Amino acid sequence: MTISITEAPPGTIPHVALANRFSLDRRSLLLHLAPTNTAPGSIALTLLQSMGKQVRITGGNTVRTDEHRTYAPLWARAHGITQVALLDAQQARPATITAVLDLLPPGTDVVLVCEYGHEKATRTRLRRADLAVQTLDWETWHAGLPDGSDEYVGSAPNTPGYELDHLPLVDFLTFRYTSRDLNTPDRFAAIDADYVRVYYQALTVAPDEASVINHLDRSTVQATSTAPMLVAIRASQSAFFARGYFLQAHSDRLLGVLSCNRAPHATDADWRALRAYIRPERSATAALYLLGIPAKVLASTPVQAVADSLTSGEIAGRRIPALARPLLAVQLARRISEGAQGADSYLNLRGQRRHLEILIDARRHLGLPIDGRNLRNDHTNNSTRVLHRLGLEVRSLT
Amino acid sequence: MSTIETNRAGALPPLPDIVGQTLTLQQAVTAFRIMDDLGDISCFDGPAGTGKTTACSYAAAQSSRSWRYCVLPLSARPKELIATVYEAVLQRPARGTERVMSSELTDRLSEQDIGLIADEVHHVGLPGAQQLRYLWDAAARHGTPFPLLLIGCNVRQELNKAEEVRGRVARQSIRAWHQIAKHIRYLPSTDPSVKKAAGLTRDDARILRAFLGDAA
Repeated sequence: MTISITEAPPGTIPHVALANRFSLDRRSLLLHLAPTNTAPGSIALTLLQSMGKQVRITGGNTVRTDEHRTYAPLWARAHGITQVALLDAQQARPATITAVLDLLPPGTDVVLVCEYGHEKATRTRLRRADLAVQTLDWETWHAGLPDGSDEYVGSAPNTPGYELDHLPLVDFLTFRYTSRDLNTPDRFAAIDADYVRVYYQALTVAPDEASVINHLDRSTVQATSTAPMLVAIRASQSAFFARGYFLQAHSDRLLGVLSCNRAPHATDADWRALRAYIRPERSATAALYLLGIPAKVLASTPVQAVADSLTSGEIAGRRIPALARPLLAVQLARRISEGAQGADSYLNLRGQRRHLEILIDARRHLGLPIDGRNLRNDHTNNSTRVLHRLGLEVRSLT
Repeated sequence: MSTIETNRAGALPPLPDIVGQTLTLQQAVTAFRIMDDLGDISCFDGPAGTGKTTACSYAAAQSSRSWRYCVLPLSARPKELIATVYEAVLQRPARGTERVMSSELTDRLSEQDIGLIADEVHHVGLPGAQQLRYLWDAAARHGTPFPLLLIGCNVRQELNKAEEVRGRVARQSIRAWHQIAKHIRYLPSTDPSVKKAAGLTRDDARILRAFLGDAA
């Protein structure tokens, strides 16, 4: 592991100068620790966040501090991190820098980036703490960094141009208005184009549950996330209301119904979305399912099978995409660190339905069009259960 | 409807009917416009009552961007400060940890369709300015910096103590007592909807000097 120190020239803001020059896809990270980030768990969580982990979703902020310290090095190794730039290094204590170094894989190049005028004092402070650093010329280093972002920019086919987070949590009567209020004009145009298309299609759909389900399924067959599905539900509700029918929808359940019978068809956006999880078993479960492992087999998949698949580059007869490899590798590294043998369960989840709940959570929080729901056990002959079973019910307003 | 908009969290203070078109106001508006275009940090500094907030309301009314205004709390405790900014930017009650709120704030501000105006920076001093700087840095790190205006009473020296803050404040508009620019009925009134501010005439300057007791 090499540790270098550099200083931005006067008038240069390092955060701006280094923007888009580091990315997980290039195995490099841009890390910024506030002076309050001194506890090991806090440092580990900041490192996880710089790798795209979201503290807002399930498995994020609820993860215990000791888990942050356990998972941060596993994720860094799974992503194959080779270079890390620590911004505002003049504010970091030597103990903080040491804690960062402990979390990174061996062989990582760490560059401590100081604001103008702070390099000498920082270097002296680190030398006193027995941290050997070599001086790096800013211009040379900066010129050698790749420019431009190679992150996903919505180039996948059928990308809707909006995500679940962009849609309002309101009923159909105010959905369109609130969408316009919440979003930029371009994004609202994308939402509204889908809304209007489905609205006009719904004007000719027969007012019964089976027809509505078929209509929603047809109109969202190209959807790569649940966001267009939700827009289609709201537009259909509005169209039925205009025709004198009340299409009552339980949106979460209906999204599950629309997602559960689709064959998983993962896109690059899905793999990147799964990076949001801190707990490895969540991203690994969803990744295995998206790679074609049936839900029934997920829980019993052994460690050796996944290890062999990562070696051969194929799983269930499919090639493992480069973006999916870290999602599987991190759970494998975790299980091996726990002492699991080849025949032991790869996911090691508690409870028989836990893997299904994780799939449902992935739909709810990341917008992936997958679901682990089992419809077979619901009553089908009780009319009051229709809304519960399918997530929708059609009633006449007259 | 307009009453509801005015009362929403993050709404700018109402603009007075009459805003004096002084040179300082025009300079402040220019600084605001540059900040709006470049998405960097500016600071309006000056004693209380000199029209700093009025100047920013006036400039924001001419901007095509949405602006979120917040009065910073009396202490620089990170969570309290972030919660104040969170409520202004996202226009809903603050909840969650400081880290969660910061994450949501960064995501929202990185969309670059809104700018942030943080008033009463002297309440939080340099530590608070550093917190706001971290927020701006987090967005800048993704290549999507947002315009940030700091307003405070005599905060220039305080902010200059830290190189990383001083270096990020791209321009400052300093106001003094004799540059008071609001509620002066002797000055030509201005319609805030007019895009370009008109300059002072010689007569206006003479009336202003007389009003301020300047015999020269």
